Amino acid sequence: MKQKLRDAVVGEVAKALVSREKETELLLVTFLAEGHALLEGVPGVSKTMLAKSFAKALGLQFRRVQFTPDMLPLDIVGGFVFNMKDKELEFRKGPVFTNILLADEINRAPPKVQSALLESMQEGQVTVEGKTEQLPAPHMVVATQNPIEFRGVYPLPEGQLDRFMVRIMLGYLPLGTELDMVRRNMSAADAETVKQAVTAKEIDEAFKGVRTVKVSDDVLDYIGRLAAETRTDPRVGLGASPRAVIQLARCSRSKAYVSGRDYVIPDDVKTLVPYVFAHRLRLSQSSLLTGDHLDTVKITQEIVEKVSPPR
Amino acid sequence: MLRRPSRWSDEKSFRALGEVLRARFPDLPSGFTLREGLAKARVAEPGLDWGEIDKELVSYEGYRYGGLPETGGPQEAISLLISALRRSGK
Repeated sequence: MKQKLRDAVVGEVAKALVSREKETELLLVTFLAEGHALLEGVPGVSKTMLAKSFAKALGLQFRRVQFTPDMLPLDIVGGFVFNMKDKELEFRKGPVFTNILLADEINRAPPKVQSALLESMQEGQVTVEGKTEQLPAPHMVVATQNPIEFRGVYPLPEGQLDRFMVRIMLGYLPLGTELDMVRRNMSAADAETVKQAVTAKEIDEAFKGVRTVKVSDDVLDYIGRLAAETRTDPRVGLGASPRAVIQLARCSRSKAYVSGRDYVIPDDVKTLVPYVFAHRLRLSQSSLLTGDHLDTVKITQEIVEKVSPPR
Repeated sequence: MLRRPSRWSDEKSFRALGEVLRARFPDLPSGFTLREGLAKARVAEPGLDWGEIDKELVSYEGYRYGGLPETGGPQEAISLLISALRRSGK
């Protein structure tokens, strides 16, 4: 059942996307861990297509918002409008009221718009003018962003980045695989070919199953030591937050579940560390000044090779 | 003739395996997991019964991380692997 769910979703998304099985599984792991995902990559590497296909395979309600520099927070969360008929202000829900929200090119919008998602991502609710509205459950934000070096982008603040359970980097496909993608594209395979692969009941059971996955004290200690290492590494100015530690533990449970186990092994944690920690770390001033081509993904990969897991 | 370790507990067998893997494959980083170490051993010792080794590993993981009861079995396949790695490392 556990692996069947994974195979069904990954297999369905693969109908539209070539060679993105690992990324699809990561999205599923994040979804079942009740987290949010940030997809990062240069334009044209199927970020949006991946998010759309994933939502379709799950058969959940899906909305897409294209973030632009002239957006306002109410374009996301909604706001009060005057109802001429009833002569009253009424709350009109924004696109955030959905199961899966695709926040496309999130870093094209200014920080106040990006921050409009903070409450919804953390609390599963939205508050406007003192009125709080619950979002439908499950609720997941899949945001895409272009690399920070690109023109016309506003970097996401640390507090916002910390809300994303994982960051998944999408790179170019190898040449042979890219040509497969071209062939498939010419045969009109796209997100429309993806069908619902799992039922709402199966999704609900999976959420319940993930919550029962056991994390032993030794594995928790391993997660803690990995986080501590990010905080003492001289190359890192801002290490993994307590929220990052919680999210790594939750994500590891979900990874164990889709792998067919009801307990977490150190390999689950080790695989996920770069996805959960790297986007939350900030390089230290000295690392930035020396310009040694350091990046936080590389640092997290070095940390997992250094910290001994329980065996 | 391979010399097998005497009948050990699951934990003792796998602790010994971790040490042997590190000695046999010095390029393994200190953060290696048993599965990563076994992936290297699989290439170095293809003639062993890897189906049985994988089975013993999964049952050990269930005990070590999942709170399942210890098998208490002799861990034959792991013992043979330890011996083979020790022998080939000399």
